[in-house]
Amino acid sequence: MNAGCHFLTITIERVDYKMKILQIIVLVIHIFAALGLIIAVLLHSGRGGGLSGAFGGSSSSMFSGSYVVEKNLDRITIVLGIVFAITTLLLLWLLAPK
Amino acid sequence: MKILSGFRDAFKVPDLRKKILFTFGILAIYRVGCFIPSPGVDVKKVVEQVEGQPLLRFLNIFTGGGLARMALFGLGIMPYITASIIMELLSAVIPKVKEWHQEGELGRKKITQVTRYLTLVLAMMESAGLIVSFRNNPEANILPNLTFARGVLIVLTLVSGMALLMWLGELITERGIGNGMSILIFAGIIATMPTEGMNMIRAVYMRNPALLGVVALAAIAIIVGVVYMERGERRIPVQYAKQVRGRRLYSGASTYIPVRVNTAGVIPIIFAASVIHFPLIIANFFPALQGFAMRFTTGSITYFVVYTGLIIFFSYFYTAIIFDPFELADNLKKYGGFIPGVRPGMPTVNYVARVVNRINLPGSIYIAAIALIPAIFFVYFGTAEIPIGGAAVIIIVGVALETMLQIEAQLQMRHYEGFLSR
Repeated sequence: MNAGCHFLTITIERVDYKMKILQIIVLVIHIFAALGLIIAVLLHSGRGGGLSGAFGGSSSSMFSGSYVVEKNLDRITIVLGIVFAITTLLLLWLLAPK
Repeated sequence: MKILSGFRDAFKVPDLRKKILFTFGILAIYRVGCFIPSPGVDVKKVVEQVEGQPLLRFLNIFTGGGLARMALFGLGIMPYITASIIMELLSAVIPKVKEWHQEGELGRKKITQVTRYLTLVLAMMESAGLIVSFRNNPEANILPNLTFARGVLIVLTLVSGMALLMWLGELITERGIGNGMSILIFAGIIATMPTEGMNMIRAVYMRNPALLGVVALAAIAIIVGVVYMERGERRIPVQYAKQVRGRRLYSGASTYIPVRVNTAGVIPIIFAASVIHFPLIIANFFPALQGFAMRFTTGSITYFVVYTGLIIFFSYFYTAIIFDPFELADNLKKYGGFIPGVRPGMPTVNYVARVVNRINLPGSIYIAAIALIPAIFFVYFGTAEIPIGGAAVIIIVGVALETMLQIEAQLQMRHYEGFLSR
């Protein structure tokens, strides 16, 4: 009985320890993905056109070809976005109030 | 049936079909992001908190319910809108920004770039403000075991979610249909419509079931009225001179300059709303100001008067920024056009400015009236605030009309008839 209990506490501690490591790893990835995402988006040349087009101004859609750089940046942004979403979900589970 | 065949035609053109599907795809991603909460937030408690505060409820509608979950896209696209408004206003104050405005393509790019930086700064301030205001309310216990590091984590998550959303909006503008930012706001409002609509119906029903019919009729009347006013324009006739270019004779065409009744669109409402809620936001940080701030809550006399004044003021202000009579007169002269009965140069400028100013008065009164409808509801029913109506209706109608016109233009380019019979 006593031994069993002892065994149980050890396993719980081990799981806790592993969770802690996982938490830190995910946190680090999350922070890097978030910062990377901000930088990647800011590197795009904005095509929002500001407010002049929003809500019924005369919007003239300008066509400018998408460059190779821009295409690669697109890919990086998409990957970072996906990583960011996944780590957010993981953190939600890892940091949930017990 | 005309409309249905319009839709069929729109899907027949492969290029257009791709654009429409692309837009829907981005919107799907946007909706998913509205449901992923940031780490370390107790979602249920945030929802309760947001429901209880009029300002947060107002913001929640514009973010498609994302704010109520402190979601990845919880800040919505509002910081971007605020940043662009600030940039527009700065152009009237700082000469450097005004210079950019007049530089054409290159200047616009610079302005857009600064707007994007400013957006993220504003997003950071807003999310930090949210966290502080939630912490000041300890019994709600929204952020369990909040530490400084956790606060920073939430801010970081929200800000980079905002960056992602901004990029999605730009993608829609670039490769999809319509203006991305307004489409995103549009989608957010539509998404909260069922819940908010049910709340409204319930509130009215509790008061008097017979009133439901009246409210439904009023809603239809408002929508028809908004469409009517949004499409309304004054046409200033323009005559072009006959001219010979090379061996061809271009006969003088007569066209018109359209001056819309509501040139400024919904921007005066958005801006007036954020200004009038400013005391409430400040009071969140400084509880001593609570009494002063309460004067500006929905339903008080001060609120009505100040709100109306602000909307009319911003309507004139924004029209003055985006509609430049000098530039218009200049362009007319360059292309050999003139307004019959008005001499070119200064008289033309004065004439156009007068027409715009005059047509702006009914225009500004109209948007003020539309914006005040929810407030009037609030006073009359004395129940919960009903944030739908006003700004939301104008945005929905405006964005829908504009997007439809854009698809229409694309269809006509390929010899289909489009949606509108003429």
